[in-house]
Amino acid sequence: MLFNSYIFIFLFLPLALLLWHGANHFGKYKLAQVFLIGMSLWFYGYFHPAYLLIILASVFGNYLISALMERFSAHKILGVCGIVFNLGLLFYFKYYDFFVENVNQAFHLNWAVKNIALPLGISFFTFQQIAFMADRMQGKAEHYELADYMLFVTYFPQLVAGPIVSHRDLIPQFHEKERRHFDYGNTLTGIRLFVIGLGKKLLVADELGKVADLGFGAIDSLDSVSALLTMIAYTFQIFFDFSGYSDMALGLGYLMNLELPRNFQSPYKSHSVKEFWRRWHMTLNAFFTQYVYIPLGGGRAGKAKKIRNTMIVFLLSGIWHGANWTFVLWGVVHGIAVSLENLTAYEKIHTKIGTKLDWLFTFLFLNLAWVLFRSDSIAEAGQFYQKLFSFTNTGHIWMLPYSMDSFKNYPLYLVADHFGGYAAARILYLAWMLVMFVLAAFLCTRKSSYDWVKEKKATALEMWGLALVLSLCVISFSGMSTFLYFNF
Amino acid sequence: MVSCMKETNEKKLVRHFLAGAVVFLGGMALLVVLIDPFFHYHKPWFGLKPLQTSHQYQGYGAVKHLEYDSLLLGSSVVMSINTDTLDDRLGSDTIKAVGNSASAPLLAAYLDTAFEEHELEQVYYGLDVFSLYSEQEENPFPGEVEYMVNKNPFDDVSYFWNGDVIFEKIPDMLSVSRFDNFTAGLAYQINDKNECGPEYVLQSYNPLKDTGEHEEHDSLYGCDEVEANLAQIEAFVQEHPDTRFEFFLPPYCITWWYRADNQNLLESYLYTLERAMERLLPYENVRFYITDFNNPEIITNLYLYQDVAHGGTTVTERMAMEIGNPEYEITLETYQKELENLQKLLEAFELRTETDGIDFVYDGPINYPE
Repeated sequence: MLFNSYIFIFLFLPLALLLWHGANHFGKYKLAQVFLIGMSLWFYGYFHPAYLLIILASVFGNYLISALMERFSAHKILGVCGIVFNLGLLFYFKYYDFFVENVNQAFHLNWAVKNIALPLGISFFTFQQIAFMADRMQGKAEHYELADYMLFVTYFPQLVAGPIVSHRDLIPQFHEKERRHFDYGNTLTGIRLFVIGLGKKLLVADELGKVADLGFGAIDSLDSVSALLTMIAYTFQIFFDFSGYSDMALGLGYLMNLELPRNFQSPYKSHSVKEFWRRWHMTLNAFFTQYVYIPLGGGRAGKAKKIRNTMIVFLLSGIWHGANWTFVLWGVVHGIAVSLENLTAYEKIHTKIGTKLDWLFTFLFLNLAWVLFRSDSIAEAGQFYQKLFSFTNTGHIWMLPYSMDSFKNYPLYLVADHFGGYAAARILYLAWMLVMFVLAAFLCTRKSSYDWVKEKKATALEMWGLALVLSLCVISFSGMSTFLYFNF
Repeated sequence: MVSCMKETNEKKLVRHFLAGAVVFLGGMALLVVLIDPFFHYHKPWFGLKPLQTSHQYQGYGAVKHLEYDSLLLGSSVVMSINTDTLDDRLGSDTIKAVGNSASAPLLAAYLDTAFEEHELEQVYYGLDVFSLYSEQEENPFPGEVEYMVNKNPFDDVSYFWNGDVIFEKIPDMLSVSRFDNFTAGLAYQINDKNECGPEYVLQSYNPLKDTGEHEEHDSLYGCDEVEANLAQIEAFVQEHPDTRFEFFLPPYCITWWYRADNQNLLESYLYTLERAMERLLPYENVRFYITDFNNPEIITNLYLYQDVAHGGTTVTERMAMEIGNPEYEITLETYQKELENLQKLLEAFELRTETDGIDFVYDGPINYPE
């Protein structure tokens, strides 16, 4: 089920809130938890009922291993088994076909590809459980009750696109009595975050996504100007799409008095790639830092090892995002950038070039790297770069806004067409697209929505404004789109 | 005390939000229900004129709720027919029920709905040969928007909270009604500007690419479906003896026939047309019109077509003038001759093209058969 769907907004969410708060109100805390697990499974199974088997197998498999750890002292062996079990599941569903295709190509073999459909969110719930298993192995996590563990993994706000939540952050909240009481303050925060996230996704990301889709769908037709705009459109799209989802997840958490960790902190304001990674997909980076980088030795054993460990983390991060060499390369270039920034020589240059140039170089780097991320193959990315640096202008820019021919600008179009005909409509379309770019840039350079909601007191006017945003989002559902990070 | 006041304020703000959502969403829903541009709930109110520029939505609602005494049925090739022309000539009050590549079962479902709610004087039925090959399916409206045709009231949210309906269809309906440039008859154009010519036709027809290997089909290919669909049409003719069924054959561009030939379907199509006329012509309340179906001056003139099959304004205006015109009527005595003429035309005509091995360039003028 998508957050941006009629069924979620008008049936699922009200029902989930009613059951959760209703049962809590009457002191039936366990029942409330069971309701929430049931609703979460419905949420997940709505995408495809068969997915339920996969997530349940994953949850029960991990839980069983954890139970065995409780009973037997062979924690390390069982923990390794648990991690292998999780990685095996992830490998089979996410990387098997990619692996076979590459083996076939490298060794001229003909192994059968299974065309396995990727279960949504498998990377997210698998990573949460790998973290749990690693903590269990080190004695940093207890064996939880089944209901607690199930809700921790399946809790619907974070299930399909994160944030990646630690058991330490979420499970204790299930037992805090004060969280079982309805709280208007948290409800207000929840509404604000959820609606802002929904608006980011539907009113900004999806609009700019159409420009990006058009450009990446016909790279042949691009010139430098349209390639540049296509690239920036995707840079904005992926931020508003993913951070929009994260805001909604956090908002839903607040509606239930359960706080999820934040995932974004204005990443495009970063002055270095390293800083970007402290602000972008923060929970994934926390995972890699805690469970990969630090166990490898982190930055303590000299520069060479620090660079090695950094490269390993970014390589894994790239692979985590998808079974394609484009993601691997994207991870590698980010790894190289961060490693370069870690060098003393770079630090000197870095301080010399000034803050604004720092930001510009970082933003340009991020844009160029996103091209790899968005392309279907490395060859396609190469073709895109070729167009970008061809320094041509064939007038293709006029074509880009037509992809945005949505209801949002139609009344304006009618007026322009009426008074100025085709030429005026064309200019209006371009202006509309550029306004969207400026709006996106403006929003990216403000406070993050989380900080804004936390710091700024709500007013009645704002709440009516948010109700309008919600309404505009609801009427966009008829052409609803999925979230980019569902596939990672 | 402070905490209590804080909660009261937060409670108020939550209420403001809920009130705003109810007002905005309720207002939008109310607007759509009142204007109802697709006639899902009622015929147009407040003196608004029914606009028919979105066939996917309007077929079912229009058939159910608009007032009319005649129905024009067919696929995209009849969408551009101006019903006003038909009505002026034939004294009918017609609406269109059309669909892209409309199948015979879909048109039968429209007919069913129309007869449930109306006494029909005439049915103008654009008989597309390909539509008769469709299987009779459980869902009578394949390809139509589900929530517009089913009886489930809950999925109507997709209609009354729909951005395209609120910001596109309603302004269209209001502006047409307000500025009086009513174009209900010109329901649909294949391309926005009604541009015709070889360059448009050949965009969607490439003889080189369209001559790939295709399955062999004999004349009896698909005959079970064809006979089932014809039986269904015949049943309407029999059950409604007071309604006149005016069948007509839309004039496809010659390239459409070439494609059919390349796909080894020509023999079967001609046989199907023969069967349709054989079965329908004997009825008292049936008339059949050939229109420009086999007129070389029209169907071989690529300057009159918008793509591989669809005629531009000239073709559709002529069609509207020829339906119900005795000059174009075919009978049990003449139908075979008309089909033979088409066959001869197809054999004699050659679309001249120059190729560079990959693509081709149209090189007019057109050769007419002697």
